[in-house]
This record gives sequence, C-alpha cells and structure tokens, in this order.
Amino acid sequence: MELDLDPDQQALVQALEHLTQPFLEAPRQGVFAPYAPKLQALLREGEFDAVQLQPGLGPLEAALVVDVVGRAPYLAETGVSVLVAPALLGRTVPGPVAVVDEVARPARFLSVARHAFVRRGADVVLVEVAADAVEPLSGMFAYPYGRFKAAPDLTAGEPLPADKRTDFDRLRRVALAAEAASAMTAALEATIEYVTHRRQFGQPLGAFQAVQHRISRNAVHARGARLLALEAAWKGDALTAALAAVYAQRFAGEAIEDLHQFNGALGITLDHPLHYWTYRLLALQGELGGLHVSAEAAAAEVWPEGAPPPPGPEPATAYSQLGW
Amino acid sequence: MEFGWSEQQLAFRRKLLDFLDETLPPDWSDIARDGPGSHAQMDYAREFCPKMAQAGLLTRHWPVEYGGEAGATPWEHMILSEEMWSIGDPRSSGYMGANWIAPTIMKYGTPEQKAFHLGKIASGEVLWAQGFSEPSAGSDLASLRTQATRVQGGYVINGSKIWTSYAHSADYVYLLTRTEGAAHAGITIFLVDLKLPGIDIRPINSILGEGEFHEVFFTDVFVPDEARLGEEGRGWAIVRAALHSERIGAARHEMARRTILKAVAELRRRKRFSDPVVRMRAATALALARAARLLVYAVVEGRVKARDPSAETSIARYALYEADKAAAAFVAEFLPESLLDGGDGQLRAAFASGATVGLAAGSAEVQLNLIARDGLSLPMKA
Ligand SMILES: Cc1cc2nc3c(=O)[nH]c(=O)nc-3n(C[C@H](O)[C@H](O)[C@H](O)COP(=O)(O)OP(=O)(O)OC[C@H]3O[C@@H](n4cnc5c(N)ncnc54)[C@H](O)[C@@H]3O)c2cc1C
Repeated sequence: MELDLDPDQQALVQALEHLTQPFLEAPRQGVFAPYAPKLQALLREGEFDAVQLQPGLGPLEAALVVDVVGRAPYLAETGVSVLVAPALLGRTVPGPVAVVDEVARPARFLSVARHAFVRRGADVVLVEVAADAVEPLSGMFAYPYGRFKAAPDLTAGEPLPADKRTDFDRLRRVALAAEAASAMTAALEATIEYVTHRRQFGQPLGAFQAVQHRISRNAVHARGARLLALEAAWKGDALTAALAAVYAQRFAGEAIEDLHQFNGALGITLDHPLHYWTYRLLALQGELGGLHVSAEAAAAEVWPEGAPPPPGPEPATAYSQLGW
Repeated sequence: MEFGWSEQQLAFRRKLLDFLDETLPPDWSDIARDGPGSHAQMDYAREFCPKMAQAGLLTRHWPVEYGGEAGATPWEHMILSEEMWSIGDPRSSGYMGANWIAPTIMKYGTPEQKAFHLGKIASGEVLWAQGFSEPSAGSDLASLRTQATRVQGGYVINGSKIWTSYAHSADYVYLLTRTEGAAHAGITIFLVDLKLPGIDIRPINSILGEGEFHEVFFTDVFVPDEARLGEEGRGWAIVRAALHSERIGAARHEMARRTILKAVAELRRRKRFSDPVVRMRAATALALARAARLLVYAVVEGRVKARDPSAETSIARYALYEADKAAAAFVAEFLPESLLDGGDGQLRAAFASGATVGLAAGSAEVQLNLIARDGLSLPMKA
C-alpha cells in the first residue's frame, strides 16, 4: 500500500501539467464545449496515449493522464484513447475515440472523433470515423456530441476479441470515474476561488458555515472519487471499477447542485468556467446507463446470479478483506 | 502509488484471523450485541485481551522499543483495527489503549509512566475510559471546566465528565482538566485510577443498549504529580494528536463493508435480495465504504511518512461517517428484524455504531468545519 505518487508518476503529472498549462485559461468568448484539437494532438505527440504500454507503467498512469487533463477548461478526449483502447488492444488508437453504445443515439466526442468503438449486439467493433458520417449535436452537456447519420459499416472495422468485451465496460467505468473525479476537483477549486473573493453581507461568502459545510462535503467526495478511480485502474478488477463509477455517479449530482449554487448567477454564464466541469459531470452522471447500472454491475460481482448464499450462521470473522 | 498488501501484511492479517477463529466463543455475536462498552463485552475483554497479548498480537504494531515487532508500520496497526473493529471489537476499550492512549504516553510520558502504563496495556490487563466531554463542553471541548488545583505533592480534582463510555468497568481514565488559564491554554491531562476515593460513576440509560455511557463525578480527588501526562497547561496539543488518532482509529469502513455483506447474505438466505433497488442500495453502501477506506489509508500513509496530522483526518472521518450511516440505514430498512430480539448481534451493534458515528470523536459538523478551515483554507468570519 502506497498512496503517494512515486517519482515516475510525479514526473508524469508534472509533464502533463506543463503540457496543459496553455489550456487552463478559459476560452475568451464563451463556448460551451471547447474541444481543443491542439491539446489532443500534443497528447498524441508526447505519446501520453501510450503511457500504459511502457515498461513498468500501466492503467494507473493512464488514469493519471485522464485526471490531469480533465482539470483543464479546454477539452481533449483521454478516457478512451489513453485508458481504454491501449489496455484492450495493446496499441494506441489516434483520438478522439468515441464509444457508441447504440448507433441511433448521440455519443460523447463523436462529432470530433477519429475512431469509435461501436457496439453491435454482444460485439464491439473499432471503426474509423469520417467527419461527414457524423451529425454534430450541441446541447446541455459540455462535451462535443454527435450521432452517426447512417449506421456505420462495421465489416470494415476491427472487432474486439470476445475475451476483451467484459474488460471494455470495466475500463470505461474506470475512465468515467477518473474523469468525473477530475471534473469535481476542478469545479471545487473554481468555487473555492469564487467564495473566497466574493463578499456579501460584509463577509466573503466562504466564511458562511452553510457554504463551508457543503463545500467540505464535496471535497470529501472529490478526493474519495479520485482515489477510488485510481485504485480501480491499478487493481484491474470489475468490482473496484464498478464501485468507482458508483461513487462518482452517486455524488456528481450533489457537486453540480452545490457548486453552481455557490457561484451565484455568474456560475451560469458562459464567461465563467464552472460549467466546463459541472456540465461534463452532468453527462458522466448518465453515462454507461447511470448510477443504477453501475450499481448493478457492482452487485453482480459481489453477489453473482445463481451462486447460492453462504449457509448461516457464519463465523464472526467472515468477509475479512483478505479476499479483496 | 500502489494498492496492494505486502506478504508480511497479508501474513499478519491471516494470523489475526486464525487467532480470532480459535479464540472467539461461538456466541460472540450475542456478546457483541450491545457494543464494546456493554458489561458483557467488557467482561469478555478481560479474558480476551490477555490472550491476545500472550499470542503476541495485542501490541505487535508498537515501535520495537516498546515491544513491537521489527518492521511493523502504521499499516499493521490499521490491519489490526480492521480485523477487530469490524466484528465489534473484542478488546472493548482496549482499542483506545492501542490506538491513542499508549501512543501519547510513549510520546509525552515520563519513564515511570511508560514502564507502568505501557506494560499494563501491552499485557492486556487494563481497560481505559476517556474523560473528555463535560455537560457544558461537548463540541467545544476546550471550554471544559473540571478543575485540577495544585496542592502539596499533586492536584485535587473537582468536576464532572459525561458520556464517558466504558467507565463502569474501566481501570483508568484519561482525564482532561483545567488548571490555570483559559480555553486551550489551561488544559492538563491526568492518567487517573478510577478506584480513587471521591470518584462516583453513574450510568446513563441510552436507547442503544446497556452500558453505553456514564457520568463521572470527581469530588476532592487527590492525584499525585506522577499522574500528570506532559506539562501542566500543555494538554491541548496532546489531545489534538490523540483526536487525530481516535478519529480514524476505529476501522469503521471495514465494519460498514462487513455489515453490508453480512446483511445481504442474510437477505439472500431469506430470498429477499432480488429487488434492484435493494441491490443498488447495497452496492452504493459498499462504494461508500471503499472510498472511506482509501481516505483512511491516505491518513495512514501520512503517518508512515511522519507527516504532521492535517485535515486529511477530518476528510477520512467524514467519509467514515457517511459509510457507517449508509450501512446502518441499509440494515434498518431492509433487515429490520436484526434490530429486534433474536437478530444477529453484530448487525445490531453495527446499527448502533452508525447511529452515533456523527457525534462520537468530534461531530460530523465539526469535521466539516475543520476541512473548511484547515484543508480548504476557506475564509473565516470576521
Ligand atoms: C456513543 C458515544 C460515545 C461517547 N463516548 C465518549 C467518551 O467515552 N468520552 C468522552 O469524553 N465523550 C464521549 N462522547 C461524547 C462526544 O465526544 C460528544 O457527543 C461530542 O463531542 C459532541 O458533543 P455534544 O454531544 O455535547 O454535542 P453538542 O456539542 O451539543 O452538539 C450538538 C450538535 O450541534 C453541532 N455543533 C456544535 N458546534 C458546532 C459548530 N461550531 N458548528 C456547527 N455545528 C455545531 C454538533 O455537530 C451537533 O450536531 C461520546 C458520544 C457518543 C455519542
């Protein structure tokens, strides 16, 4: 057990912080979902999408990429291109990479994607995405969204091997949790900044206990979500991944509500950066079916269908962590 | 960063489990029903703690110079806490001795205090109580009033403590008093033998079961200088360190996790676990327990690295509060019969623990205050 970053991980984070530095200043004229092709390209040039393929590194390091990049107001797609795809395929796939669970439905990043994983029944097929095959959709989520104009030709794509299909959902849950934790953290920091400087009733807003307590709760959840996402990346098991998604989706709503509340009307303007993170969180809250599907995924791991319950009464020491 | 246990740590956990399986009586669940402070459980601890000491497990996590095992770290301490607290803690208040009383004696005690108290704690022959709260000093602990007045050769103590768990059968109380000075400045700690003349202990009936807590009255109780821990008036710094240990010392995340697993096993045996809402609630409670575990581990990591205690402790404590509450709510809603006669004692005790987790060791709101001030540096009221 070692919860601090090791020197390699620290170096990775520093390099990423350096790389994202020019993208931390929010866009001048309000854009709802400021996708930055330049940031995406820099991540690829710097081989950050290949980080987990390097000797001694793995999905945890990929999750750190998602974590750091997700704190910038400008967007790049990292969840699938940095974390999911290399873990499944053993090689990188130029991003953005979208995931299309149902061909007829909108998907995150599809309007700017170079590749997509498309589900077809039990199969998952990786396809190239041509810009003219997709209809871009704008709306209430701070991600670029798109929908295929027509069902893509999957015969030209690369099907995932059957034994990787369960890993696909597992890794997506890890990516979702890491991205949500990152958004919560950035939104929290922006809010702390606002309530520290904004004064009403002769006090900074952050001095009011009603404000402090809800911000403190969100700090607990942001940190918990981040550690859980990183643990899930490290462990590589389906249960931890599902629990990480559950935790992030369970508290995302509270973060959106509270942090908007404390930024006042300014928080809902396009000029204020808060929505970059909160309206990403809103999208992630419903991703992969939302909380109830993530929770059922966790439940199915701990209490698999068809397995009989242990005969009672159990010894006092039953269920030690030894088995975890 | 990595999330696995070393071979040595796994072996330690296995050893603890083997010891518990051999030692705990078949009716442990009934003994544990009213919690660690009950008469039944304290009586049992008198048997259990010496056995655990003999097996070399009670204080194995201590530094080598105090008889601990070479190479043991705060991780071993946490493993011990997880295996004990999660089943209701057969050490009863022995956990306080291990978690924060002995460590502060190691740090601030005189050689004589160390020789006397640490030896007794390590052999499992004494149980302690915690004399912090008073009728007018709850969350605002530093406003405490129990007076210690200097006299020839020692002090005379007058005043009263309240909500004191374990007092009915504990041997010693870790007592906070006021000497000279206001608020934080005048607090002095004494290690007091509860059999001294002038101490009167009265039970307070609680909704949670027998033995939960007491009032302890001190009338002209003489204690010698040797009973004072640390310097006069310097107790607050010691208490703060102790509170950091206390807040995450009991492995509530592990109790929450096992409560859910135990409750669900029972629900499945009764064919009451197919409803998706119940399954979702169970999984969500498990996620809360897992997050709390990691936040607690972040504090343990700080101890391994000898970092100063920080608001990380309050963050972890608040997560423990959420996890414990979720587990207790699950039991009450979906397996309510476990809160009635004939139910599983460990589940009942876990419910009671969840019902008070927001108050004991500093309330949930106090943790949020500390996170805001010390962790997030939010502005304070002018
Ligand atoms: C099961 C149990 C066992 C205990 N065992 C012991 C023991 O062995 N020894 C011992 O010394 N004590 C013990 N205590 C006492 C415990 O430490 C106190 O209950 C705790 O410190 C809170 O004090 P209080 O109960 O007086 O509540 P109060 O201080 O009266 O607080 C009541 C409510 O007001 C809130 N509040 C108070 N101040 C603030 C503030 N500044 N901002 C926002 N909200 C605030 C609190 O959060 C709480 O919700 C025990 C308590 C329990 C429940």
